Amino acid sequence: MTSDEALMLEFQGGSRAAFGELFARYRKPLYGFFGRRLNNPERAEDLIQETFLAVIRAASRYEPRALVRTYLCGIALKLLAAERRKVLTSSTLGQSAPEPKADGTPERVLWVRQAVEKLDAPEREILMLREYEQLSYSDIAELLRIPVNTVRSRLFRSRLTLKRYLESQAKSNPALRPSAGQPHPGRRGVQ
Amino acid sequence: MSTNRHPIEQEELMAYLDGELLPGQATEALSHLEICPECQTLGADFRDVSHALMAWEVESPEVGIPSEISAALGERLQRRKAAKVSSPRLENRVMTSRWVWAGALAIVCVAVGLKLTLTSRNRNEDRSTAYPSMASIEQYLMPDRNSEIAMARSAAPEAISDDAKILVLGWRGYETAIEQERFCLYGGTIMDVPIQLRRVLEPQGACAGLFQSGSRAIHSASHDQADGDGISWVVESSDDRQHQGRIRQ
Repeated sequence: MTSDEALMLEFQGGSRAAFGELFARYRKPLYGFFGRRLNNPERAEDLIQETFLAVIRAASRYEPRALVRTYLCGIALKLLAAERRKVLTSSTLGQSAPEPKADGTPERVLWVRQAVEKLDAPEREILMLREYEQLSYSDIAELLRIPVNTVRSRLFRSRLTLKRYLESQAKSNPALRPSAGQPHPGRRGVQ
Repeated sequence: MSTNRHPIEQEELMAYLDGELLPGQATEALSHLEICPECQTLGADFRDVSHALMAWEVESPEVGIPSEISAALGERLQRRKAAKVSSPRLENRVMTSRWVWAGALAIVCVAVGLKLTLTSRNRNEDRSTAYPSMASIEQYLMPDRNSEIAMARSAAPEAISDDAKILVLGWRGYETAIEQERFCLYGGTIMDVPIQLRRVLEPQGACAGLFQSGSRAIHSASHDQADGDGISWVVESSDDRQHQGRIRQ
């Protein structure tokens, strides 16, 4: 299978098919990126388009200095920041994120969402980039422009916070208790 | 967790589980994890948190490439094709497209020719013959090459003239003074040298000029007639070799 980076270079060289393959690979992860952070499916779609349009516009300047995944997350983070600024200035919601919609969403998902949203914004973003976008500590550090040690310590704090919250919730709702014996998913490729 | 029983910090344990430790540290973490129940419990806690988070899946609808993206993609690929036709590849130091540069070249040549015509005092204007009584060529040559090139450039907007090939009048007719990728002092003598000229030396008091970069001549060689026979030149190339030549009158 052609690597993402090779596809990006092929696209830079003029291959429409390479772009199509990149789109197919990253559309869903980007939807997850925006979907989890915005709770607005329509805007998530718009921002996915904006992300790929940005890739097209910047194609001639692209240099394979980072993984394509990291590159796309960088673009997505900038679009997300702009979107949040727009929401803050125009919305009546103020500083807090919109309430997650509970329309048919499984209880477990709602519970996880609420737990994540209780975290401080910097810790939440680092956690999500690690757990959902599977970025390395150094990639996260570069995107957020913070030291790697800061990434590690905030990630550690956020996981301990979530652990305490999940334990307290699981006591009142046994269905929310985690299943045992699973390998650590955070260790990419290692079981 | 007391540190004297644990060779690694809790954060390092987490980093190990994330695959973020260096090999030496990872080996130490693994060895400790295998024998320490407290760290095993902590590891399990991290694992449970990660698994709980995985429950938050976001399903996306299956869609093809939206039309707006498709249009932008088509436009970009089209622009790239057009740019490929008009710009030489970086590794190709010979201009391959003549049509795009022909326009800029024509402007520059006409400007130089017009200037020379207007300043000449001895021109014979018999248009029915091929200039049977032209003045000697020295009267058409400008003593300062840099001034000549600057004058040629002034005939076109900077956006064109900066990248234009410059021809100036020399002993053997019009000669290339500045080319985009290669600097040519005089037509045939240096064209065969596939180098990017870095500096023009000053032998025989003849040439002066400094190039700003290897790929483009900002200054050309100015020359004075060294002796009665012609003009000598020496050029130092980017590979530190000297190339000499002489043009006889």
